[in-house]
Amino acid sequence: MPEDKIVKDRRLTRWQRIGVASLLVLAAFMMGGVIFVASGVYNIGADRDHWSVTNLIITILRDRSIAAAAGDVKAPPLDDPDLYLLGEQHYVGGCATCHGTPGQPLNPIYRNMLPNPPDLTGAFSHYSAEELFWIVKNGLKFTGMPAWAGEGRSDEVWSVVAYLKQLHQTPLSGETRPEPTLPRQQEVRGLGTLPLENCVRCHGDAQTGPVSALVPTLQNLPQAYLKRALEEYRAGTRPSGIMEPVAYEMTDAEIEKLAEYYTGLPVEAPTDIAPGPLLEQGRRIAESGVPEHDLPACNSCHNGSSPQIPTLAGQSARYIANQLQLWRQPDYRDTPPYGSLMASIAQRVSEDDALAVGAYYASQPAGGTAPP
Amino acid sequence: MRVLNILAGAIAVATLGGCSTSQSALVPRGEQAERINTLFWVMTSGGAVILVLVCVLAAIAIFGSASLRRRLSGEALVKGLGIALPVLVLTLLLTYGFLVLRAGAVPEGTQTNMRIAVSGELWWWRVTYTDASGTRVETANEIHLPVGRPVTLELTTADVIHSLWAPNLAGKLDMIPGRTNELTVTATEAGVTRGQCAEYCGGAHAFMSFHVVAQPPEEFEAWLAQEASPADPVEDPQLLRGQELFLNTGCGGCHAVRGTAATGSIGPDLTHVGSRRSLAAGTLPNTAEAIAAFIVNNQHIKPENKMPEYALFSDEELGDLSAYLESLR
Repeated sequence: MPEDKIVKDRRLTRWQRIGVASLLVLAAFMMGGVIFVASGVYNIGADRDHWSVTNLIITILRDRSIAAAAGDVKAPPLDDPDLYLLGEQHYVGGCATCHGTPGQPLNPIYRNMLPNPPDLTGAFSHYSAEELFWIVKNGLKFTGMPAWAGEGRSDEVWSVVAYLKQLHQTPLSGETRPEPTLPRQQEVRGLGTLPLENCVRCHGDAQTGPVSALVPTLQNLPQAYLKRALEEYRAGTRPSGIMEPVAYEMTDAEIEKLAEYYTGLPVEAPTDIAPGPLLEQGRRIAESGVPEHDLPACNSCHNGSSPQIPTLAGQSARYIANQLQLWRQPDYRDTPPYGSLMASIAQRVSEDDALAVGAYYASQPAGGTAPP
Repeated sequence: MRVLNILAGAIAVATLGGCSTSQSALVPRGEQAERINTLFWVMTSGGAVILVLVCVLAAIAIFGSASLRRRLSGEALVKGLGIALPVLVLTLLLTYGFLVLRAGAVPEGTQTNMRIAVSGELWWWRVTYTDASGTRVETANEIHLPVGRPVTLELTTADVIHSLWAPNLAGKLDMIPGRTNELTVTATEAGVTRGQCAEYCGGAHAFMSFHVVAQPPEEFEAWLAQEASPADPVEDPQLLRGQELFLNTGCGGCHAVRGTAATGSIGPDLTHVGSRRSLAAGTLPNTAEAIAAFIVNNQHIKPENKMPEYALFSDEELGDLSAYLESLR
């Protein structure tokens, strides 16, 4: 009688038996996994590489994730000196710490990172421009690669991607770029060389102009405005992946001195732009605005009478147009009260108008106060 | 029950009577509104008579004697009261309505009338007068009228469809992009009444009101002359500081103060803003405090209006600036 009962209880169908067996196997694997993770057997030390199977899985996961995420990115033209020359300087100031000088061995400290920061000379042979953009903008988990510091500053990210493209296209001569020349008088003023070097690398000084037309000419701007801009970058309220880290290092005294130093330099000469309909359009917008688009005259604020409001004369056309474009981007949030005010006005500037007004101001000599 | 109903009716009438008369079609202060008012009462009384008639017939149908009810069920009554009467009444009413409102007629003197251009903008009214010498004088959110003189309002819009409605003065008329609609009004009585945009035009539509100021002709002429004059030069040091802020921080890019370098035409002309009856198209009282609040906090007070928030002034500067604007009378 008891035997009969047991036989009856074990009468499972074939599929049920397979199901039970699978569950048992799964449970065993899970137990094994928990024991493996909890035991501390896996060596997390950076001095030993991953198992090759771990490496394989991570690599596939990484590249699939990048490819999927970069699908809707659209690259601007990258063979653009204004982009890659700026990107190069950011590379020097930001990326080179870990990634080293392209084509040269890494600093031993970073060589011992796992994964160690790759030599980016070959970045373009592994990834497309869009994928590299995504990597630079978003960073990579568990690798030490940070996301871009300035929110909404895709324009800056593209400059780095453009530089990586140059690295790939132009074989390195083995020669490193010339070191920026530092003005000697600064040592007398008692300012540390690093903050100044960080400025001069991109913005130039009395001898050299800015490295790229996307970079403002600081000597043409008012001192109070320069000071405020650096403070906003330092506080992280004015987004820029290039300027925020540079300003982060500065003390109040350094900000004061740098603003003073740049305002003291002789102003840069205006860009020579042939008179034509573009300049005329720009002049009209600067002086009278575009009332039918609710756009007030630029000069109603940018007339040199308030030290907090930058004068625009002698500034690069591209820099002005790029700033106007930035304010129109929904993901770019500028600082109240000044930046946010300008952001609301920039919504009314069409792309054409931005180019025209940029060209107009670029052709104007700095220092002269434009009529209100 | 009946007593209760009568009481409720009496309360309703009393409440309606308590409605402000400054924005009411039932208190006409203009010839056109008077016609509408007449038509309204004729229609309402006629409607009341018909309602009573219907009620009586319904009562007879329910409670009446058999002979009365038999008469009601005759075909003659259906033909008479059901077809002939409505045709007659509606024809008369339509004809009467056309006649009273002078539909299709070109208002007399349209060519010779004084003309005031009113443009609806998001969310305020640009009002432009042309004085005797042909000079255009711009102001905002207030329509001044000489009593007894027909005035033709040229209604346009700078953006979306708005509708100008000053119920004490006339019926509403839409402002349609690409069109100029004309509304001729004649104020019959001096006084200040209120109007508003009567066509939903976006988020701050409810904050788009205006005042109608009907004045005796001499007073109107004096007002227009004052309005046409440039702002008085300021001498008080506080007001001077305020004026400097106004001119240097971009206010003049959108606003004009005639007689200064501020010549902007995007926002309301502020040459005599201090003399207006309200601020921001009937949104705030016209005080220095309200001006200061609007400068700093206008996107909260009137969301999505075109003025950016000017949070860049210190309290002292804001005080100077608002005092200056308030002094522009």
